Amino acid sequence: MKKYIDSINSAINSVLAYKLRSTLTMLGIIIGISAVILITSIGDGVYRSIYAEMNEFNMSSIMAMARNMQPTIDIEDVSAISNLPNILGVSTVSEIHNLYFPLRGGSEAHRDTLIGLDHNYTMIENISMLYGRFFSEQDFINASYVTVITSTTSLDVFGTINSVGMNLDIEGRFGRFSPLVIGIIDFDEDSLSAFGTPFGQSFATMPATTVANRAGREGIFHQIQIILENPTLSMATSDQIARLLNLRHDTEDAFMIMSLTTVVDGIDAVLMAITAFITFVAGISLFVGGVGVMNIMMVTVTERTKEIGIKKSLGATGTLIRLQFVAESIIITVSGGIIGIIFGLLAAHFVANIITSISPLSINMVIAQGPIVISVLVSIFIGVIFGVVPAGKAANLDPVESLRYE
Amino acid sequence: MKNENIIEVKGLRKIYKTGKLEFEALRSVNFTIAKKEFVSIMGKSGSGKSTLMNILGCLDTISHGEYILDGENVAGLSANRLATVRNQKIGFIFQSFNLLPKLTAMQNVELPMVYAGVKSSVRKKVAEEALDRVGLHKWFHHRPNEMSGGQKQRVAVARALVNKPAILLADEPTGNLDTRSTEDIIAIFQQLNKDGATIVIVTHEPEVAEHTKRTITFKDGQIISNEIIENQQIATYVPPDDWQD
Ligand SMILES: Nc1ncnc2c1ncn2[C@@H]1O[C@H](COP(=O)(O)OP(=O)(O)OP(=O)(O)O)[C@@H](O)[C@H]1O
Ligand SMILES: [Mg+2]
Repeated sequence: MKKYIDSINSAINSVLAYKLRSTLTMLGIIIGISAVILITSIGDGVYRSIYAEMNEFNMSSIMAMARNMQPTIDIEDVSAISNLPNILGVSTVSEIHNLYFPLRGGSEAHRDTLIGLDHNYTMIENISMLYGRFFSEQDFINASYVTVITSTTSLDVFGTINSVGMNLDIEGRFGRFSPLVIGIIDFDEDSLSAFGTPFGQSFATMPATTVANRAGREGIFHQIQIILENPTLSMATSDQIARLLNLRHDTEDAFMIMSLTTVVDGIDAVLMAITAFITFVAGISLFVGGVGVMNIMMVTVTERTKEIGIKKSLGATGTLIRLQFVAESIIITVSGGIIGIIFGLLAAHFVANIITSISPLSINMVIAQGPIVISVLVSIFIGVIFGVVPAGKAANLDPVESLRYE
Repeated sequence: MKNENIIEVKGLRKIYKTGKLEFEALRSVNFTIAKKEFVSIMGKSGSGKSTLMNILGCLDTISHGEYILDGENVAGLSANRLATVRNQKIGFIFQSFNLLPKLTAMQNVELPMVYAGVKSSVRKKVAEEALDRVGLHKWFHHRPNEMSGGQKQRVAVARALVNKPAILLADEPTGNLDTRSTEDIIAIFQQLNKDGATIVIVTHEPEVAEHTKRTITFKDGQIISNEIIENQQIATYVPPDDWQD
């Protein structure tokens, strides 16, 4: 045992003696491992942050709309859906794009989307009112000319946060109208919700009925937002909703039902594809790195032929020589692996900061132990695989020949 | 009864094959070397002396015949087994010293004990004693490139001694040394032999051979003479302190 420990010691010394060469040799391993660590850490971070954003509230959200994106859903569809099991609340959404919102005091008009919602929308999304109130059932039934806007819109148009009681001018294909501002909501831009919050995209909201009327399609809406009682049954409920809508409209498969589960599955699939690709590229890099290690080990063995001959003449067995060179190879690859892990984590930290600063996702870097342990094991594996051939060459050198080597 | 011969060689032949060419470097060699002998091997260049030494040192294998080392037939042993035999039974001293340049004198001398699995504290003690014995007690921590040829060869002798081998084999140990250092090395060999070591040295120099007890002379891979030396010369032993100038 003793002699094997001494042999490993001697391997460490050899690697240290050729620092620059050893480092260059490690490069392929470093790049490969850091790529894997980077992608797994980032993937994991993105995944976790998406999950963190998805509280139970929007996990239980479902959206239904026609596949052709045209407004097709009527008020009977809404009440039929609300009678299905596992439905907690239903809200209709209607929208008109490309409307103009002339800004007070400025000549420039703001071009944006008007979103129609109903009084039940507060069940779909947490809405905190800064001033005034949200739409009432009366507003919806009567298709009142009232509007709820965000504080940002209020500031843009009226130059004040509290514009309750004022009239918002809107112009477009469907004429000019000026609904009464009844409420200002506090909209948190950073919050990511299920499908891109209508509030987040819109300049103003009005009752869905008013918007539909304005667009000349009375009682016909774009989407239904549904909130479930039990989010774990979201798949089954989605199927039921689709079946019901197709039945009512006498269609085959004209509606799409989106739940957060499907969105997350989609993101999951993309992340997995990216991870698989990067892992593949990293695998190639590791292979190339391994071949590099083998190459340098071959050179090392040749250079140290004399040393090997001397050691053999003193009684070092081929087995011991083999062990020493395999150990040397493993030391190189594992050092490369550890440097790669450090670089990968640093890069992941850096990328996570960038993503956090440019996207609504806030990514918390988690140091995942799994990939780190696997990286170390892979490094050892590469060291062994690409070390055995050179080590075998060293072990099988003829003592007399190698002593004669200069 | 225990065999007193350390080496028994019978019908030994060594054939080198280079491509289709065959060259018989040793042709039916027979001899024995008994315990506590001090034998010199002479002969012209190319007569097969080194070939024989490499075989005796278990660095090379024989083509035909028998080689019994310390009672064990070493022909046909595996490479790993031969390494162990080298480690335990043979102390080899080379013309070109063959020290590891990155290791200190101590570390070089410790090496055979590392392969024998001796623990570090014992190794240190034994290595110090061996270096003392060759007069290098002030040179423990010097590396080979800080030493003269004579000093390096003394480190090599110390290294050959540490595992208490059955035989010391030296292939032209003084070939790279000046007369002063040659005398020192020979004196050390004579002292070791007096203390009971069995020694075989290859040499070109008759003056060196005169200090041994028997000379075997080779020509074209065969023994042409095997003579006891009548009046063995005694090398002047220079006290260790004078060595380190
Ligand atoms: N590996 C080898 N392959 C082929 N021929 C060899 C090999 N080694 C030695 N020889 C040949 O065997 C013969 C004996 O060589 P050896 O080295 O034993 O001579 P030597 O007596 O030690 O000579 P010197 O006094 O020059 O050291 C020489 O003719 C040499 O060319
Ligand atoms: Mg020779």
